Amino acid sequence: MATSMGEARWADVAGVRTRYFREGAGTPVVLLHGGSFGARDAVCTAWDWAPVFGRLAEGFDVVAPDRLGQGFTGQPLRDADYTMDASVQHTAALLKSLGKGPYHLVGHSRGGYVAARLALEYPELARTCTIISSGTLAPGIGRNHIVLRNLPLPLFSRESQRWALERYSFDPKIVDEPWLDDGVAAAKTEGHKLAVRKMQEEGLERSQFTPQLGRQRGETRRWILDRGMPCPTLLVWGLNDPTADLDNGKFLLEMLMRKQRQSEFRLFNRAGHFVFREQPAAFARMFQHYFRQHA
Amino acid sequence: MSLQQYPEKWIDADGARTRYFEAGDGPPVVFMHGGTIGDASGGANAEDWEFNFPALVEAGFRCFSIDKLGQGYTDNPQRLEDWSMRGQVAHAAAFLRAIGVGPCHLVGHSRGGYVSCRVTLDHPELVRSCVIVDSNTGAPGVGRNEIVFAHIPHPAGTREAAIFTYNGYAYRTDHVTSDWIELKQKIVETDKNREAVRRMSGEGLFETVFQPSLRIDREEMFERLDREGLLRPTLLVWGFNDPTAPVDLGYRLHELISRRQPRSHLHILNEAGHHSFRERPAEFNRTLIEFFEGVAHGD
Repeated sequence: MATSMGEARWADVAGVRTRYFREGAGTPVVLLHGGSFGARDAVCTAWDWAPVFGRLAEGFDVVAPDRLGQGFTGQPLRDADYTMDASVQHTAALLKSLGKGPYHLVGHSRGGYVAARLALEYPELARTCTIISSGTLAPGIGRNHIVLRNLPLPLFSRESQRWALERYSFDPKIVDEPWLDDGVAAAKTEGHKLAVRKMQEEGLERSQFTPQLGRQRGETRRWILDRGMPCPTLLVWGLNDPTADLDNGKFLLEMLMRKQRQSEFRLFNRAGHFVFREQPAAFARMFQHYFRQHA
Repeated sequence: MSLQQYPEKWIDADGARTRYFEAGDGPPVVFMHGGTIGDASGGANAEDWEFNFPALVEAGFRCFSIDKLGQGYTDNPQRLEDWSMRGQVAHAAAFLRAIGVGPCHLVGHSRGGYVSCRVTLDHPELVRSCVIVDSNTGAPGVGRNEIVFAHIPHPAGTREAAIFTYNGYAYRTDHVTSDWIELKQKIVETDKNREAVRRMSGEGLFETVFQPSLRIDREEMFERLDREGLLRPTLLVWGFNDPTAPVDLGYRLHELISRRQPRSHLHILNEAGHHSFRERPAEFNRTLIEFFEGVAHGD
């Protein structure tokens, strides 16, 4: 099946020009990619979802944005917004402005953290919440620093991004050219260069982003343990994820199961960090059935 | 709800008069319950799938649910060596040949999960896909039955013992209905079942035949799962709160199967004990249907 995202659309979200893709009709679904501002390894964008986007659009109204300061979406208007919290609030504002909902929230990796946080902060936006391979939401640390320690230079080049995405994958052949095209083009934007400058050279990653995320990760996990997720929650992991350790996922599962009766876990074989790119047909089928049950 | 709305059928499978239910049109699915021959407090049988069989019929599958050899209303084994899981595996394969509907999706629970796994390993030509549900017999490791059921405070074979047992397996006990227990008590009280209890416990076939052969066969199965692998897509479904077959066994079995079978999945349901398919039927049925559709489409 051809993997494509269709035509990009644009929205002004509190002054930030935001790229998103939208196809299909039915119950709304939002797909949130991973990564964060000025990421060094691979530039995540809505194009991460290309292999499943069209399949899901056959039964649902599917929205896939570039998150704040990532892909082709504009950078934060203030330095203080180089945070995960600002990324969450930006996504919430986009979803509210689209005037639909509640959504089937789906987030991958760091986007899984955003999805969970949206459900907890704005339960009225959440019909269900799916968290995929999110080392950020799970307790513990990932293995990215080991797996990706020899990133080829120059950073953000096609070769460097290809190398990183291959390392994230069980089958390196899933790294296709259209996917790289979008990540490479995004890396060349002035916005991305600004994000790298802010996060690395001006040090916002160390001084602001990481401490803020650390505080909110702890808070988020306490909410999950004490209050529970407010909607049916599906946790998905790839058995062969080299970066987001399955053991961390099991720990997160135990937390999710504590308070939300309608929690489920699905483990896919032969799947690395981008589970949905390695098993797109099975993945989309799982969602079609899961979403229909919770329509 | 029960399976009484469907025709009860009988067929000869390897010399054993075998009771089963059949309904629906479409790709064939065969449900195989758990439990052990001659269990005085058990009485597992075809009707354990009462919340799943109708949903799969509705979804366009031709469903079969059997009473395994020596359980339910199916005949007891004739040969001494068949008072064993080995005997039940051979009988299940004979049943599949007897109905002659081509390769089936096999769904086995607990000891029945051992059967679905073993039939897939030994007779892949009879199998379209393999589903294993909360099975410590089928998983490398040890179950917790001997702790959970160390002391059953009621005489074996009584209604009270059955309720205690099924409650002990459960996370939530809503599914342990009085109708279900009545079905089991009828089975427990048949002459055939009394005979099975007498042979397994009184004559000691459980220790002299059943356990020794299962020990050898399990070791061989795990070794072959590693070396040869299952040749059919495989789904494992587990209750997160299974008190007897802990979820870690599911992870372990999946890890073993995933080495050789690329299309393997593990799906875990929350607030579900050993009978996850009865405690969370909507989620369980959805997951089965999704998996079978994926197998048909070669996902």
